Amino acid sequence: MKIKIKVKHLVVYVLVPVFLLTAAALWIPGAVDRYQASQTPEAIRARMLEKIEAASGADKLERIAEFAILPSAYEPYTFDVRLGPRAMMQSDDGNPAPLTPEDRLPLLELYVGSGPPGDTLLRAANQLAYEYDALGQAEEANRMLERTADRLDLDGHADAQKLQQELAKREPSTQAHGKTPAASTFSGKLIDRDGSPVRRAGIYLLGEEGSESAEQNDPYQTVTDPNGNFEIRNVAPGFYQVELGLDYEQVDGRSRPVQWDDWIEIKQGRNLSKNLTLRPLIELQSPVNGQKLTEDTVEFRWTPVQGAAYYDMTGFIPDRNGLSGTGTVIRSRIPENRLSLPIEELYATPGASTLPDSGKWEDADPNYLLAYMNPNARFSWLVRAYDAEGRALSESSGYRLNPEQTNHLPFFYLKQRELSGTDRLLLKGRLSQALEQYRQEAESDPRNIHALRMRARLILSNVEISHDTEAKKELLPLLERLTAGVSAPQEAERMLSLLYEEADWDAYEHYYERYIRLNGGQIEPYLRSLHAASLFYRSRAGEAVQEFEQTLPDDPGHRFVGLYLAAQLQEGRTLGEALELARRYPELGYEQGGRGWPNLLNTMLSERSAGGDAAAFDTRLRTSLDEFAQNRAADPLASLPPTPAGSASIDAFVEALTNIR
Amino acid sequence: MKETERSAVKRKLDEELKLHTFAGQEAVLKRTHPAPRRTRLHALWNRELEWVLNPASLMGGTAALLLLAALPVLSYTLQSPHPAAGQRELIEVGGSIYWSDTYRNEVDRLEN
Repeated sequence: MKIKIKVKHLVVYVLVPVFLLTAAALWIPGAVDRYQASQTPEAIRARMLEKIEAASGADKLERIAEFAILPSAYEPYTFDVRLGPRAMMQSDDGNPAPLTPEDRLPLLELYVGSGPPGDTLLRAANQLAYEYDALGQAEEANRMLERTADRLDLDGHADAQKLQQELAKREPSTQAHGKTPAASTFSGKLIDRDGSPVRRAGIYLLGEEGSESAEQNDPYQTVTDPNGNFEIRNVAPGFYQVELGLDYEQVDGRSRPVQWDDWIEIKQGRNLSKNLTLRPLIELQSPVNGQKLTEDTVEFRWTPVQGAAYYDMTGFIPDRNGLSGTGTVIRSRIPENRLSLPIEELYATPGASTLPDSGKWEDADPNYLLAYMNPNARFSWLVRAYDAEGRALSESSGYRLNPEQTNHLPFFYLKQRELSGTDRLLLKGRLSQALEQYRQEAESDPRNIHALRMRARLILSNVEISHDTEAKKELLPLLERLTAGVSAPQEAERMLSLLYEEADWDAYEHYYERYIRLNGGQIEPYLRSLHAASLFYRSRAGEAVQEFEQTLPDDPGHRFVGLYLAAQLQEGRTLGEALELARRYPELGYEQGGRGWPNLLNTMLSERSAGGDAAAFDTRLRTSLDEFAQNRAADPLASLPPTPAGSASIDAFVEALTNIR
Repeated sequence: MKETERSAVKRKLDEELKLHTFAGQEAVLKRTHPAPRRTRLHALWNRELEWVLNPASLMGGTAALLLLAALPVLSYTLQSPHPAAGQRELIEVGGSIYWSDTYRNEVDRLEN
């Protein structure tokens, strides 16, 4: 092939571009350097301060507004992370805030003292009050707000009222306008993992969902002072959850051990004082950093936590997209900071049960089914520590942003086995074919535990997803055989939940016993509560009461307390006695504090005494409870509307019972 | 007679020169009438170059051109340090939250 080109075209189309590209390549690194140097927060901060310094009069105020007041990053209560029982979430506001609080304080004082009335002035006053609060100078903040309100008032400006309202919220409860004098206070200290105070952290009180005050979008809030102290005044009595607002540096490497059912009760006219502590994250020691394990026993080890009574260990199996989002508990109530797990027991531990979007069993994620038997999967794990009362103390998972925190990445491979041909088929998503092949393998070789286990697991997931009765019949003898060998409690647990849902009470009783044996004689509080509930449905209220009394102290959320109260009422306890019990075991759920059951019982009590015929009321209540229990005995997930009892308060109580599952 | 003689000489000369061809017109013209510089530059500018390409040199040439085109981008990428905190992304793996760049670097280091 020949190429002909004129010299002029060579120059214009080839040599000039080559020259330009080379020049650009040489120029870019220096230019990038210079640009980046000019864009560091320090450089931007220095430029802003210079510009403000250089200006004077109205111009200066305008620059202060532009650089130090209006950027959204300076709004009070802007934090990188909100940590609480409801969620651990990051703020998506990545706006930089180059000026430090020390830079802004005199600028805000200047603006509030001499800035023109308007939104910016209001904003500046609120920001300045927040800065004083963060310095522990709440009185200074009040005086500043008063002064500013007076200044605006002199000008006849309507914004003065807004500042007066802000002031009213801050005043001690006895002087507050329009509030009951007996409003309460929540105070305490936020302490870091090393005992030092955490300053400039947000403290939020979130009320119950649907309650009138302090919902998610408008919580009570304050900021900690330089000694970590905080105080929120004028809190309406009730149940609250405490959330923290922290910056990345404050949260990095720490855990705040809370559970979704952690609530505090603030009583009328009282101060509740509570210190909040950030704990160091537990460090996982082994297996970490992608270790490829080949031994028959896997040794898990982590740093001990002071005061820990036991630990729970959770494993994460990567899904078909390689994401490790859903974890399942591998072992709970581990008494020491290590666990030796024979590989066969790990193999017997199932992954999370998931419901495919299509609702079809064949679309279930095969990675969760093969679980820890996949030698190519990168598993990860975490550990949580609890005290003797079951309160979380610390955990290994959390923010690990500093490179030092990534020295021990919690992932590992289990290389003790190789994938079989059928496993490969399964991983390709051909579940039906794989099931058939596992069946053949298990039948031709009774010692092939893997094939038996996979067959049982595939059928179990089919039963869970499509509720196939034929598959369930096939499953029971398989699980019998499997649990005769090495098995994990999780398998019996899932079977148990399934039989409970299906109200297959004979088989359920059988598996309950088996589960207790497999779990070393222990019963998880949730399963014990379900068991107690099932006894109540099956007209064994007396036994139900005993079981509930065993488990209520171990279940801080008291999720099933309603059924306990119902069982007690059926056993002949009075409404007054039930009310006492409801107060002793408040139900603390997700976004719901503990007022529900006492309120319902109180309403019944007043309707009973107002109606005159107490005996008739009691009979109506008992009939309603009987009907509810019978419905549930046939279908424990039933949410049938109960037959109206002719009494609004009984109907409300029974309706609340139907919401318990 | 004179004419005849001249013709004879001419014929003889022609015969003797038959084997020679004069091809130096251009050189002679250049020497006798030298072209101005502008014209020479113009000629050079419009000169046609010709290359015979084999597949290997074709591929090599293409690769060199692509590399050259990518040079500024490469130099920018190599130069850019870690993104600033405001622009970094967080990822959640196994319950923990990491800066995605730190995490990926660490995983790459461990797995290779």
